[in-house]
Amino acid sequence: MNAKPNLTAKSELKGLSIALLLVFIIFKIAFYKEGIINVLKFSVAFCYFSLVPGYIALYSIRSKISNELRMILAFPLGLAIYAFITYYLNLVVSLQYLVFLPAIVFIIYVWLVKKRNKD
Amino acid sequence: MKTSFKSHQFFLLIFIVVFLFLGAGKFFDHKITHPSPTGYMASDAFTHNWLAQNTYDTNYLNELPPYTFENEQQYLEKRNERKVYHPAILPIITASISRLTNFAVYDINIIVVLLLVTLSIILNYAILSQFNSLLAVFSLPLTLLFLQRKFAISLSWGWWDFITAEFFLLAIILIFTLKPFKQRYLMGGILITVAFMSHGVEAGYAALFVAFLFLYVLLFQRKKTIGFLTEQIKTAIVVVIASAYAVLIFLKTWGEIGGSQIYAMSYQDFITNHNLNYFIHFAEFIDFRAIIVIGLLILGGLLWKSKSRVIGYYLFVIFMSLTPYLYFTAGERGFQWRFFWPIYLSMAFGSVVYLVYLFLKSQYKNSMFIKPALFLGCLGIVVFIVYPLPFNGPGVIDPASYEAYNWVQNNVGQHDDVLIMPSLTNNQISSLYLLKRDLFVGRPETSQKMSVDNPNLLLLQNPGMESIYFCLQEDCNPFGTSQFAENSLKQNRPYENRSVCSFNYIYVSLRNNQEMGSKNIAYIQNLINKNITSPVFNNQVVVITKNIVNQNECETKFNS
Repeated sequence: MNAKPNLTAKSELKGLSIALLLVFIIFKIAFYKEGIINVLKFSVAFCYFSLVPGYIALYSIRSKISNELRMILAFPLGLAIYAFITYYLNLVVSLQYLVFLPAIVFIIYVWLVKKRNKD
Repeated sequence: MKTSFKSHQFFLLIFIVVFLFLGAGKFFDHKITHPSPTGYMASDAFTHNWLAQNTYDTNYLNELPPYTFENEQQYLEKRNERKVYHPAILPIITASISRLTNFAVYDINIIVVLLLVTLSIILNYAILSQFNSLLAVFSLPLTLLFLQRKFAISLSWGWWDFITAEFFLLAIILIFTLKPFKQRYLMGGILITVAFMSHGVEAGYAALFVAFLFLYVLLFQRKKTIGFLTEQIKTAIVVVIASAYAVLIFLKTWGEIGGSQIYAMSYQDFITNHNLNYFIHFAEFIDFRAIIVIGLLILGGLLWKSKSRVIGYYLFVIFMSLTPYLYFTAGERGFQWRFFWPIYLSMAFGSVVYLVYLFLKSQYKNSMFIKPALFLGCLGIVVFIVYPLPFNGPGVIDPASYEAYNWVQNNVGQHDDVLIMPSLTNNQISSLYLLKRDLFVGRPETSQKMSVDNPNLLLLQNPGMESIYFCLQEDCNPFGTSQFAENSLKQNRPYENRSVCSFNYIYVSLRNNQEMGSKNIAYIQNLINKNITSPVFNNQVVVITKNIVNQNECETKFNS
């Protein structure tokens, strides 16, 4: 009983990790004169604001589209959701706090996926 | 059934690596971090960059920086009395990534735009894959043309808001060409809203695409008409609610001053009345022109036969490519669409290669190598055509000049006024915004009338950040009449005559033409000799002096 929810959460994390690794490798080839740490920082930050929120938003339709298509759509959707929410929240909340939004959403998402599978 | 194009993703991966490698080499010398803005070849790029930089500096999109005010008290009282009306999506993304990575905003900004172009190509691939994934693969090589000739200036000259919105537009098209799913209206609605907030006109293009999709539904899926219309109405409701605030600001600002950017304009109007040095003609496709025309006809036939949903996209691309000739386009903005021609029209190239593939496959029993050979062959040919893609150096601001920028940012008081002596590069005025001070920029006319006998300097230009990017709250208010057009004209103060004695600092670029350069040096030397100003920075490229006497004493000394 316990194995299944872990597997689902794990497979979601695995999907994201593979995508991040791929982005990092591609960026490292393109920006080969840049140090590994900087390329890693940039890859993580770019995916953090685009891929992560988008991937989460597409969770509910994961059975209807292929994983590759989910990855591709995640980038624009994630950037759109993050920028849209930040545009309005930034009327009152500082950007230095808003940058944590994807992290908060990600934690809630992992918790929800685990909880949903337990139920 | 899942929509899948698994078997061809390896080709896509190869392409992404090639495209990004070439792009990163051409614009950024394969580096993410640079000592000065790199790849910025024109003023517009700096115009967009300033808002991202200010959002990063102040942490608020709508907050004015201290240096736009005369003193600290005024700043504390009035810094929040305006709202941004300049497109805000790219600045938000840029400032957020910079905040997280601690990399310079100028680096993140332009690199993100190149990534959006790359992702746009991937989205176009995914759209075409809904019809035929192999044709989509064969379309990829032509998009490499984006990296050269006039197509590439959309990146280096700063058509960034356009690129951002096109990226979201392609996502909108992809989402609506997929098989319907429950929350699609919500995702579509958010994407349309953000496309609008990135660059208004693309939301109109999205509506146009939906109209073509509706035409497709009427022709081939009539039973689904009600479902389609219901979904689109729901999407429209989301868009109206989500974008209401941004639309009102848009109407009260751009709507008031839009002019040639908004009104319909024919191809002939555009050619006659506008600067053509950046305009894209079909000839930019060099030897691919015939292939594109033939390919579009082939694809039309293939799509018609298959009754694929991609017909909506195909009709949209044809219509958008022809509208300037039909006197139906959103002003100047409509012509920007051509910068993305290599992406949109790549479908035609893909169709021709796909037909070649079908032919070869019918001729040879062992067809295993035809696909990779054709793809790599086409990729190689286009790379050969676009190559070399040389790195053209940092652009408008070189590292030595940027050293002076850093000095100003760290040493000049927030409310001090800086005189920029006349220089050739001053016509790229937005590049000076990164000095982050209240600037008064000398022009060639200023230089002509500059004299050691008279402290008055004529026709200085004050950029006036507060009106370039922001509108007064009362002007952006949804209720009441907007005075935006009048106010922005007043506050822009395009030309101003001021005494050299009224400035705190004088910035002199030594990279200048001989006439203006020698005149500047003679003028500054005179001020130094009279103990009016004193050099505080000199790196052989830029000299900065500080005025060391008050205005009255300065005037007296000047006339002595």
